Amino acid sequence: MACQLMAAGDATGACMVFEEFDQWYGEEPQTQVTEFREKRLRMWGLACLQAGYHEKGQELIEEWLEAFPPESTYHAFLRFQLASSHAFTGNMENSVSHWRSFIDEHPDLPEAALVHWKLADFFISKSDWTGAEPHLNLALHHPRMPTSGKVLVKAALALLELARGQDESALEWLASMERGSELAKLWQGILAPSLASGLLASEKPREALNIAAWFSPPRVLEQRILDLLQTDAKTNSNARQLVWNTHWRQKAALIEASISKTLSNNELETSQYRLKLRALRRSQMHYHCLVLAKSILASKLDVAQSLRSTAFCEAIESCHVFKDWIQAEYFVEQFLEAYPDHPDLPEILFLQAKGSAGTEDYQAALHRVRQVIRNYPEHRSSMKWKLSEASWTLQSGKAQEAAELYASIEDACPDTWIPFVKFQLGRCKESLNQTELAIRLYHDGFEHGASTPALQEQALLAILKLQLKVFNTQAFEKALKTYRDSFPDGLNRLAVEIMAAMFLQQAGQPGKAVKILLPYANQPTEGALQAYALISDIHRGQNEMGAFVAAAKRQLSLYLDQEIDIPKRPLKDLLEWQSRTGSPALDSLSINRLMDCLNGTGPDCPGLLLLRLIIDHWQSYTSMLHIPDSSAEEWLEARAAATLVDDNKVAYATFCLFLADLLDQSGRNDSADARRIHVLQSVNVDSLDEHSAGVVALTAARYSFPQADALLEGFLQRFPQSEGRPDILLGLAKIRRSENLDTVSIILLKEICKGWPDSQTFPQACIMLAECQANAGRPEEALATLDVMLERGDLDAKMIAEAVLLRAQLYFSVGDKDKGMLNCQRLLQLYPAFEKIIKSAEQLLNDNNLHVDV
Amino acid sequence: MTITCTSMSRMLAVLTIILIPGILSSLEIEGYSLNGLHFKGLIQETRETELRIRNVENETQPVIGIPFSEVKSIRLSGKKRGLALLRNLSAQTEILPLLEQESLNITLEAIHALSEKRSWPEMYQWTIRILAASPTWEVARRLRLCQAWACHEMKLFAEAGEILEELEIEWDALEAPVLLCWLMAKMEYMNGSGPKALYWSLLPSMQIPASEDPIARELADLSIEWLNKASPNLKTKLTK
Repeated sequence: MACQLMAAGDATGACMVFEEFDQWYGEEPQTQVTEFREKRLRMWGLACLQAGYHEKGQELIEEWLEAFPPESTYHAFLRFQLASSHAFTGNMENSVSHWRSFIDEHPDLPEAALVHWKLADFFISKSDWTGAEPHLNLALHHPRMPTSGKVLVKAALALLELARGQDESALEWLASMERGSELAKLWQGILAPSLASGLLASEKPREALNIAAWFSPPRVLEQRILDLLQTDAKTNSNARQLVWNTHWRQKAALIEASISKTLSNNELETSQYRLKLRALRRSQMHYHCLVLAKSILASKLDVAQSLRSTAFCEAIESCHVFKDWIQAEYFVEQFLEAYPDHPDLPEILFLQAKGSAGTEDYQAALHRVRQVIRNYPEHRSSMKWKLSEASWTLQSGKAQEAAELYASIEDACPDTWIPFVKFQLGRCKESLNQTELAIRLYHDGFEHGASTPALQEQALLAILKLQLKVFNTQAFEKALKTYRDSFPDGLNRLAVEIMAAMFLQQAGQPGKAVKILLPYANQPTEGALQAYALISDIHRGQNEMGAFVAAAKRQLSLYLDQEIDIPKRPLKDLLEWQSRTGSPALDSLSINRLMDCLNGTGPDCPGLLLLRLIIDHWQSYTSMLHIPDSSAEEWLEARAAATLVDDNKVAYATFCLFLADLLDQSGRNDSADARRIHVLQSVNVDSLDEHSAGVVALTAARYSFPQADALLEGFLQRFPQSEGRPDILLGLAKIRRSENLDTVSIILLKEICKGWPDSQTFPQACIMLAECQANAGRPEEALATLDVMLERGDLDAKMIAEAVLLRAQLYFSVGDKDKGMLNCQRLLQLYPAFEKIIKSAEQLLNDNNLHVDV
Repeated sequence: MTITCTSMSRMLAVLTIILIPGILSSLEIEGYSLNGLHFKGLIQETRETELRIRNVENETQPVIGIPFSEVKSIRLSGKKRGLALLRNLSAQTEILPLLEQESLNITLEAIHALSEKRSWPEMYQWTIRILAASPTWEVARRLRLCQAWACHEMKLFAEAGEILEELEIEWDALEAPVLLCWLMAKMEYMNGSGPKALYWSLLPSMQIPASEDPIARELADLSIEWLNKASPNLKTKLTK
């Protein structure tokens, strides 16, 4: 009857029947018959547990377990129920004891994995990670553990490692989860932010960045949890599955609880983006960081709004890395406008100063950094700012002032900074030509206990330079030996060996110098080119033209043989040799190999130089290249057409652009530009080299092609160190001016005026800058710009006249009629040939009721 | 973005589209009339003003005619998806303006699937059809994205560029779908704007969650290639 009630789900009723039976018949000998006793104890115990009479149930099942051996059919089941009952009533010690017995008695049952897990949970609840770990490992490696269970165990292990502060181990556990598993994605998404944060804190940005791939917005996590819970609800469970599902539901509830707080707001998503930005920057992936910062700034989402200030900071920092000062300044201005009271304001103002220093506008940089130091004297970065102030003071040429600043920093800075400050003081003294003092300070920096190997190497390098300069043989050799012994694989090893070679050259031992350099020149690296350049210079200096041309050919072969892109220098040397000797520098084999490169069947080759080499000795090379009787121009036309058919766009551009230069030289400028425009329309400019890309971009700007803007900007980004940069900046400034963006034009033009005062573009840039400044209502700045321009001695007369006219207009505009009149007078007296300018000057005088007798 | 080239005229594209015929086939639907009546069945045929359906279970029952003006909404209740669905739908385009949101989404997925067969003219045709059915803003912009894709693959770059220019403004940068990024990157690169192409190629990997779409992988590879071309300095930063 009791059993029937149990089967009908009435555990309480069953308990009552068992109680009654016990009162009436409990002492009867028949009840002790093994078979009957086993069933009575088992069913009664289970009924009690199910009905919630745990104490009685535990007592009965304990009795059963003592009476019957582990091999008995229901042993595992009852042990499991008993342990669970103890856990339920909070008697963890008994529960743990039974779980342990279960594992000992039934290690191969699937539930053993679950029991290990329960034991691990017990240890975790007591923050005993060491106790928990082996059980989780045993659960994980249990042969009956299902895949989804393994994911959960790995998540638990990852959590455990996180709690122990072992971020990398946590990362390994998460990464080892089954790919594509929704459960794995969920856990990875939940744990990724805290893991990434920990890795960043322990200076592992690359690992943090890998973790960032698991970041998920709350809405995605929420959906995953929902999907998983639904999957569980659908599962058709047998008794054994029921145990697992209960366990799983508990875990799922834990997941839900752990993220429910962050799901309700943007905090999680914001922190994920912030972590990603930090990880990108610290991993030196500045371009990626800039892309993310830009996309955040362009976004209108709520999450982006709360990240804007961070994005601005990251964007500015990234622009600084790329020396894109114009864009950095643009971001700074936007930030200042949007967040005048932001806590990050001091840092941004400092970055603005840094940007000015980047464009070598040290006056502005110092003015700005001093303002920041003055306004935020207690800021945590104030000492760092002072270091920058001293550094920029030194770079602005005020070495004495910089030395004083460094001396004051030395008195107040932490001990670890002292070697660096000493080193910088050495640089100041070096600038002040106090060589001995500088060397001593470099030594102090080198020998200081807190000095880093990198600083020591720099200090030794500086000492070597100075000893080379003063040509102190003994001291140089001593420093050289110290360097070679201390830094056999130093970053500056090549630079040091080049100095050693220069030292030998000056000591009258050019042969030995070349010998030192040869091993470096024979490896096709960037450093090799420097070594080769010095070898070349030594041979030229010694007038050893045979060795000079041989070295160039050897260098060329090196790159050709190893199929590495050919640098310009050897070809330039060959050109020089050709013009000095009047003979072709290359034999048939070499010139054909180079032509193959140009035609796309070898490494990249500076095509324009190669064509110059050929055209300069056209007659000699035509036979070597088997060119039929034709002029250079015809051949270039034919080659251009052929490469276009072969779809070799780079070669096509090379032939066309070289031909355009030839046409320019013969005064056929329109035909030349037609070729350049054709290149613009048919070739992807990104595939062109620096010179060609610049020519095409400028042609596009000259003829106002719609892609001019993108091409000029692209050039500035691709070739930040290009000598053609001022022309490109001027082209871009003109476009910006035509778009009424005078403030942007001013930034671009200032870069030309400050960076390239000796360039051909400089006068034109100054005049346009002055015009923009005048338009922006800053006539004093405009006048200062013109004064700087007119100080240059080699200006074209018309350019001077234009500048003087503009100056006259500016003086009149600020009410200084005397100076206005003087400038007009100068024009009338010195530049009567420029009619249009003279007329404008006369009109200006008339407008101001003035008259000048010439 | 500036568009500079087209290699196929708009007229040619339209001709291509007209030449693709609709296929007559039956389609399983259910829906509601304006007065709340529920109807369900196989579309027998659609006339200019009338929808004619018959019972799925009992073919002997007479065909019912419902004037389009009386239909409130229609849902695609059959199991057909992808190209098979589009084939059936192509003969019943009159029902498109009446389709419920979920059915429009299913149709959008089917249109997307046309890319697997590189049926670009067909994809273009379908986007035009569904757009004419006044879908929601979200579905409409996804359709226009497919439209730009089809135009791009048919080398109708000017048209693709025009659509993309609008979509670029409409889609938030942090939520821009990987397909939009891919198209923008390709178009910008073609127009000689390396930095902009690079921006779009990197964007999907910067978003949270990072896209798992194979196109995102392709874009990441492209970004490395373009970055290499852009500047050796950037190259080291990227591959470090």
